[in-house]
Amino acid sequence: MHLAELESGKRGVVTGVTQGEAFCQLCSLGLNAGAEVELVRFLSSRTLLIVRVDGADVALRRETAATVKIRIETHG
Amino acid sequence: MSTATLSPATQDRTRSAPSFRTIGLVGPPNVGKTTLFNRLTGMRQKVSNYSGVTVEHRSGRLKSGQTVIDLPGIWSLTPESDDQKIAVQVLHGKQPGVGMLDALLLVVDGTQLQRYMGLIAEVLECSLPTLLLINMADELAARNGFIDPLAMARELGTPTALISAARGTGMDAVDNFLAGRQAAAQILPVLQAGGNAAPTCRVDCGDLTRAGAYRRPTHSRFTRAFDRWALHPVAGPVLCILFIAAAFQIMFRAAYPAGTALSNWLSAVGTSLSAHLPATVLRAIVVDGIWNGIASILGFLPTILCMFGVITLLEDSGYMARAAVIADRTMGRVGLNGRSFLPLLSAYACAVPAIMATRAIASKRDRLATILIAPFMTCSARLPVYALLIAAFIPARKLLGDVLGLQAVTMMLLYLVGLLAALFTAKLLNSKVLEGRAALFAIELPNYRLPRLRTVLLAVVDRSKVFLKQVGTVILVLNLIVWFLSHMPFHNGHVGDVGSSYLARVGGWIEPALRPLGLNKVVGISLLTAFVARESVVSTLATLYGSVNTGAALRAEIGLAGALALLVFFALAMQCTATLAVVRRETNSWKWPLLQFGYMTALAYVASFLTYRIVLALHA
Repeated sequence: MHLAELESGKRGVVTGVTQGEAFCQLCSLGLNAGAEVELVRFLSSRTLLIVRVDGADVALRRETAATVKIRIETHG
Repeated sequence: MSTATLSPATQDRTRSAPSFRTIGLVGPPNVGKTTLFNRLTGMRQKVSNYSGVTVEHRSGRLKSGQTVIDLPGIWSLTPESDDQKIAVQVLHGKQPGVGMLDALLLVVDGTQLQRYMGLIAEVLECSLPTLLLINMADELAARNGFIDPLAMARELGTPTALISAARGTGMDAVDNFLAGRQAAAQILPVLQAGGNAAPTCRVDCGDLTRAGAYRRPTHSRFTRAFDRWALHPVAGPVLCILFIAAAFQIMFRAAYPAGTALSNWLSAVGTSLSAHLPATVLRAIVVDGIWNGIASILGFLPTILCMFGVITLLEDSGYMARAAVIADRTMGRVGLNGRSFLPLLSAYACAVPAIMATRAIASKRDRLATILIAPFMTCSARLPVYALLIAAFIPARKLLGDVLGLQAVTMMLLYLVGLLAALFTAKLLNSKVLEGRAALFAIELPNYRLPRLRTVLLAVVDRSKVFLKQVGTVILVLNLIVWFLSHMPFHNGHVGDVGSSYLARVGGWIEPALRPLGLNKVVGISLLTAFVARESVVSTLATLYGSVNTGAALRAEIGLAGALALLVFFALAMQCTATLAVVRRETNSWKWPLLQFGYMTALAYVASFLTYRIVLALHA
């Protein structure tokens, strides 16, 4: 599954980011493999989402978030 | 692994070790690298471009004579973009025109340390003497985070120091390292191999922060609480508009009048000084050609400083990222993204630094689109023209009591015309010209903090320098050329009359093209000079009409319809050589600036023609 499929308030762990234009920028925002992410909330009718990664908040578009593959934390 | 022992022998050796000549400043983007660079080099900086690419080459000299190169921000040594490629090449000593580096200052953000461990390991593998600087130490401590630099230095095998580039703490560690001294042994462990030896990192980077007892800072509670409002579907956009409206209020009420006063005062000084010079061609060149050019350029400075001041305040406080999120929705509709918000807002001051600010847009396609629409934003050079024409043609009638006048509304409409043209063009580019889908938008929402005066001032000075250098020099040189064209041929060593100059002849040629817009030859001549730099239209009109009141003369000759057509033309036409030059540089081809010029001129002409016809029909 990918980041945009996460429910509000739920956590996951990044398993990888699709190579492409967004790759570099997402890495720079801490969204690289192994990072723990929490979906804080959706904005503008779910086209934007705010996630918490490494204790910092990041806003991203749904399409951009879809390139971030995640798995759900079992104890989460 | 190295240990932090300090033996007399190594102390002597490090003290006599030659200091480094060229030092590279490496690190990811937005970790305070440039703040540190500014602090180290002050005003002794040189900014140029690396050969063949649009990547900025910033180098500066320390007081000690050493050279510091501020490399473009990198995330890893496997480069993804042009500027990262350059950074890696410089790091490996393979970039033509740049010498080998003797040492590195590696800067990372202490509040996000775990993100940078991969980069730190890669940079240390380059085997150059490296000082690791954990920046934003003040913020790390303030937000209850912790790192033990000594433990980290032991793990990494390279000196490590906590600094705050913004506040200037921990700078003695940098000075000691650069001078080849290892004085502060409690922070910089002297390695057994000698103080300036290559680092020897052999540990797994994931473990490093554990060894350094790193504790991540907590996100501030205020930030989360305020973001509920700043990103609220209704309150968010309202707040954003309020901030921008406040910025424009300051600009119109304080900065623009101040600029006009400054420019007038400088012209007056020029006139009174010229009384002491003999009346020759040389005096005319110096006073009218050069001095008045400088006066008009400096006249924009208060407006530009004000706009950049507000933008930098919003940036440094952390709000700009929220504004980008708020704007993303609107921007998305025309195929842009929230990252374009800051450059487009800057374009209200001047398109040149705005176009340079588009480098922060990761998506190439969105960046190009932003570059192409930025000149539609009403820059400060359009203001004098608007002010002159509005004062001459629009009656000072009140609309809503004392709140709003007809003149102010006209001004707002002109801003709106520019904005709508920009949105229309973005939409057009999105559907027809540019390939690929607009989908990339991701931005960090940093903690809010009180803007720091030093950071804001330095950033404003930096952007204003861009304006003075890029725009100022172009305007000055072209101003001189136009001055010559409008005063030649000379008669018996005296300057000729503008009406019979070379420029007037060209004005005569283009007059037929202007007649459908209700404009005459005089306006045509001033439009020609405006293609160099918009604001020169005012001075040219004044010169052409001589002692007659320009407003009154225009009123008599072109009428309301012609004036409105002229305003619309000004709002839309690409009349700025400096912008064309910077677009050519940033896109690395002539294709885009030429296309932009042709498109904007055509759009301006058509819109202007329609305005003229409609106003005539309504007014008749």
